[in-house]
Amino acid sequence: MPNIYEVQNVSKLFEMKSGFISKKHTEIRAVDSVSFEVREGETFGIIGETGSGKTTLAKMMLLVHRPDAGRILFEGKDVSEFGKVDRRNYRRKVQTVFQDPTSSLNPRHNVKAILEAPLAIFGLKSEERIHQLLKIVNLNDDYLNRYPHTLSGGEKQRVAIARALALSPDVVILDEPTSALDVSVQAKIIELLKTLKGTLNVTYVFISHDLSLVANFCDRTLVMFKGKMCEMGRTDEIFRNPLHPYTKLLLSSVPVVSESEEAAKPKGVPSSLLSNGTDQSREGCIFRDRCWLRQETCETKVPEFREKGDQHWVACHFA
Amino acid sequence: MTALLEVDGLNLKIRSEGSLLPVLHDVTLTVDRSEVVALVGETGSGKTITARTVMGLLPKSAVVESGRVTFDSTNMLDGKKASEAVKRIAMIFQNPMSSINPLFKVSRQMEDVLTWAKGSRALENSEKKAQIRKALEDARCYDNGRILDMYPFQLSGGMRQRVMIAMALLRTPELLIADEPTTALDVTTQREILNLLLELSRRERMSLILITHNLGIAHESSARTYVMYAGRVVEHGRTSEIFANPMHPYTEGLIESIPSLDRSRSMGSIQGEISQSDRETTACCFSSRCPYAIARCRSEEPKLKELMPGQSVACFVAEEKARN
Repeated sequence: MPNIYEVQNVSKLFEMKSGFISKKHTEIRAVDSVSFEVREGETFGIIGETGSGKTTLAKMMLLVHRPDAGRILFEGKDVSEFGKVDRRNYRRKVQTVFQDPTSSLNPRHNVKAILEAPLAIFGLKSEERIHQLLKIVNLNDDYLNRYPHTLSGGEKQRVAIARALALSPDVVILDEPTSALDVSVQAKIIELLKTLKGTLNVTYVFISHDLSLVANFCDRTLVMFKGKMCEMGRTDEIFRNPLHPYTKLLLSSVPVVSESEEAAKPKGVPSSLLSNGTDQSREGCIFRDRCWLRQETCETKVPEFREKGDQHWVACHFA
Repeated sequence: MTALLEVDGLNLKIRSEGSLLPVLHDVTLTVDRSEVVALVGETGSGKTITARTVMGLLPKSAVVESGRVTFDSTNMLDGKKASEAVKRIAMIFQNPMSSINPLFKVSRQMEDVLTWAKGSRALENSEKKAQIRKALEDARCYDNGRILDMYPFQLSGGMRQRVMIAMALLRTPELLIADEPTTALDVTTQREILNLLLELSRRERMSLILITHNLGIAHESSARTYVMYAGRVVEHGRTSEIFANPMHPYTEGLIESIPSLDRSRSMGSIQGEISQSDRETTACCFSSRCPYAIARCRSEEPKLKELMPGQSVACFVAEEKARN
């Protein structure tokens, strides 16, 4: 499969200003030297906690932020060197679905207007297409005249998905599309996304903090912590054989519903690991403060991101 | 031994545009001392309103038609009597930001809670401070000098929830109701908050009602589980039994919709959504969404029956199965 995205050594820094009289500037490395590729037609998962940089990464892919270092190639072209025409094309080819459908749908537009907007921009307005879009997300035509506040969370997210698909994109970036929903609704949305992928030949980049969801949805997965890459590989491989302590911690944190799943969780993860602040010293392993396996090397040496098994990458001295 | 909290045959309606909409229908549940009980169901199943009835936090439009709520032999539906007893119950909410006042520092808000709960004009300032510090430490807010001096917006999501727990602990409650305490949080933070709640419940012999839509959480933390649908309890029993052998089709559907970690199950889902007609129906409330529904389900309402020792279900199909 050819690569649709190549992300090469991308970093993004934010400046935090604090203090009222004497201004202090602290730099936050939201994304730190991240590289991966997304292959055409796959579902690529990015997981991590709040503050791991996954949304910043998505925003760079969506041209909201410019990377401070590194490049993002889309179909072989650097996205930050796009001209006007390229940009316009890119906006058609790459679409997104956000976490909170309430804030991503205009409350003053009805469903029809919401779905019409992307079509109108590209001069493709057609009644037929709107009907078709509602149909593929399993909503009937009665919804056309309804406003977002009259829809349930699941229905809103369906409308958001229909809008993302309006221009037949090549890539859809899904930023925690189900974390605001009930589990039963979440199951339906995931089912819908899976079916759509089969029929529409689209590539997904799926961002989540829920490992069990990624396990059931993604072909390959990247695990991030405080802007750094921890582990990357085929999803089934990562779940069968997690190498990074952080991945193990995430796995063991998922609440499960059967004894067999409980037994499948990685062993030896302490029950409580408190996170402390945003300490981002440039030396040593980024995860060391929370790691129960840390040694002296972890304090001084940054672990290299290296290939341990077949396409299975990890950044840990002791993996 | 009598239970600490008893809700018996609670029927509740909400007044809306001149008509009364049924919200809770014959809800019966008990919580023993130092027991952890889970209340599960989708949005709109009536979990939160049940908890709010216990706390006396009902909206003005709510009308309790019949039923009793008894906490340690106090009638909680009698406003006057309840106002003292309710100080022994604490509740934490899904979104901590909406239950903390954004304009006041943590320290001020915690002092207010203490004054209200203990009537503590009697308490010395130093005593107050000590109690607040202890509560924060119990909730694992270690850096408490700094936290006390912060405004809610300066705290992270997990930290806010810990401060909420600390506020609840100030009242040394006998019952803590946690309404979706971890839904807005990361998995790792969720794990920490859950462990904290369970540890506190064990150590302080505090009863805990965990309200959640995530069955994984119920499975891992509670001794007994009540499954609610459209304002009714449709299944309840020992948690281990319910998860090993779910008897109500709704419980089964909820369990299936949890993504499996070892991919041993494929992810299923329940068709449809809770609707107002499910709450108003005189037939089985779940029949419109149930894959197993038979004719009887659409005409008659199943009552909760103990089909297995310690496991009660309101479902005709499950009754049939249990009989054979």
